[in-house]
Amino acid sequence: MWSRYNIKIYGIILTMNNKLRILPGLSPTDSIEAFYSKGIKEVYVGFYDDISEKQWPVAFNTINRRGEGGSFFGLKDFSLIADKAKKYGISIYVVFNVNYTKQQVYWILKSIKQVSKFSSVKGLIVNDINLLLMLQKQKYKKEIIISTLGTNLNTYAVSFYKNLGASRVVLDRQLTSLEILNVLEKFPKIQFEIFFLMADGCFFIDGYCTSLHVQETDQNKRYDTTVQSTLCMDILSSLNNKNSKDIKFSYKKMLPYKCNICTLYYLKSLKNITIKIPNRTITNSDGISIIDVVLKIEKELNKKNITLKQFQSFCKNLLLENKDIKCNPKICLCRDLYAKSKNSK
Amino acid sequence: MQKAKIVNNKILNKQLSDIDRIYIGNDYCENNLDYSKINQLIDFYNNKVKISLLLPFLTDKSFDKVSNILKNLENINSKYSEIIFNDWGTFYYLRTYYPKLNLVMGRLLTKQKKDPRADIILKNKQDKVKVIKSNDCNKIIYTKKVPGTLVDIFARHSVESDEIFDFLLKNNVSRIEIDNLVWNMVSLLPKDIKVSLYFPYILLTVTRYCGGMNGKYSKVCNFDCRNKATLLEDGFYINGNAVYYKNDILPSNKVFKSNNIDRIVYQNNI
Repeated sequence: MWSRYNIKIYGIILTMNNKLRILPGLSPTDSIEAFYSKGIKEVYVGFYDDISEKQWPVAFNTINRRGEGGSFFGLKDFSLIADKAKKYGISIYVVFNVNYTKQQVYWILKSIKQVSKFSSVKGLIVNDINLLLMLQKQKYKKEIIISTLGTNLNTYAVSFYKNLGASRVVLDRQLTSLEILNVLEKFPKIQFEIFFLMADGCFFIDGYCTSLHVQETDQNKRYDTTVQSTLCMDILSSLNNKNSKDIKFSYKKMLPYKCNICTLYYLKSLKNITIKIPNRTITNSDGISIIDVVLKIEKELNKKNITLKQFQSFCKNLLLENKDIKCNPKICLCRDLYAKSKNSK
Repeated sequence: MQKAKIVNNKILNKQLSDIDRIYIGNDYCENNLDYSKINQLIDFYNNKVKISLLLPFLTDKSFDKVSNILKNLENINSKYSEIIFNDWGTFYYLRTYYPKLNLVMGRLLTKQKKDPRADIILKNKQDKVKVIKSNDCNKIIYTKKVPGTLVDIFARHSVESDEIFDFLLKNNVSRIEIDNLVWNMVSLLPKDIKVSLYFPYILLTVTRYCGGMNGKYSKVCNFDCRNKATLLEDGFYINGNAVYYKNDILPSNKVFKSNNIDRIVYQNNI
């Protein structure tokens, strides 16, 4: 059973002993102290430097999927955050989660070696099979997490990546709650990350989406002066133009598919899950506010004898309050799990 | 050059003489694999043309159903039949339980950068200065030049290292599949790994939220992909759960040769 909230005082920062493992992204503009005060024990970060930037600008997601605003530039800045993380006992996972060409491999392997020297860096988040095979050959010592870009859609994918050295797998965002539960139960010794309250609204399968996202921070000098939106945004606007009389398409209609909140009622007793928060500064997703929501949910779940119905009602209100979205059970990813649990009763 | 044709779940009544191979199945959705019909299709096409079974990404619910089809395909015992996989879990399953079958790495796994909207940026053909007018003040945006090294990586797919060449060949995968990009394509593949090129539609992305994408929410799959595709602005097509872009210009012979392309996979109009 989960214990109640503990609040401890370390210096001037309050921290909470969360039982849920929460993994937010950390960007250069985020405060690691603020994350620590919320009881965060691990974060993921992006890294790039002047060599990579001259050849393969990170804004084009050619180094990682966190883009320009979501990644740390240069070893100097990276070492500062790695040292701070060490001070607060926070583990860092570094994302190298795109596919790399032969020209990039030397830089990638050199960068992995450099960032892995820091004791707070516990591992990497990757998905490129080329890179995985190279890391296996080099007997890479730290943890390997398979990014959601590895299209982890079934139990055989977990076995495949486990054989390539993975200790943790980020499940695909579009798995239903029942599919998630089945995978978790089959691999009790593997850690899994599940996405939660998706902030960025993407509605394609990450690992199969080839939409151009130019994530640059400089508003005055840009690679993409057309300031293109993503393919999903273009599609939504195009569909709205086509169907203006019939249907209004919006991310808000899509989001109930994947809020995943009430799934936690079923997952709470499992030890091998981490709640992944896909916050990126570039998309104005505020990690702290999402963490606060997760903590609120955890508190609710910790209530003695809370029933599913009570928890669902709480989740519906929460979704409305925080995202201005009305829960729609008809399209919810949890519905198959509810159906199963009803039948088993 | 081999000619292959995707027949999905259909029996082609017209002559098959100009076709070397047919692809049964699809690479976008497991719900649209008509399992009852696939064995019938295999029986019909066997001895007429070579057969490939095209599999989309699979979730756990599909493996038992796929297993029955694979047993039938194994019984044909043809050295020319092959299975195209589009997720690594399916690859693992096939290699574990059907080690003798020839496997092909599908176009969803070769991870090309495909979005045609990148073309104008990669060619540095945008306006050098853009003025965004607003009531308060006009905002000026200047263009940054894209380096040639970036253009180069947009030309490539993900099968690039000696490690993956060895891995694929050891696992009886001697073919990969790619889309026909709107820009140049470059490959470092060794001669013993061949390439299929899909034509004329580039498969840009897929979703399992198709009800949301086409506005037809339903509790179970409503097979919207079997209806005619919706053509959007900028030339994108939505067909059920997938987004396509049409590129009906074939690459030059030089590109065919340098990329080891020896098969064109023709798709029906969507």
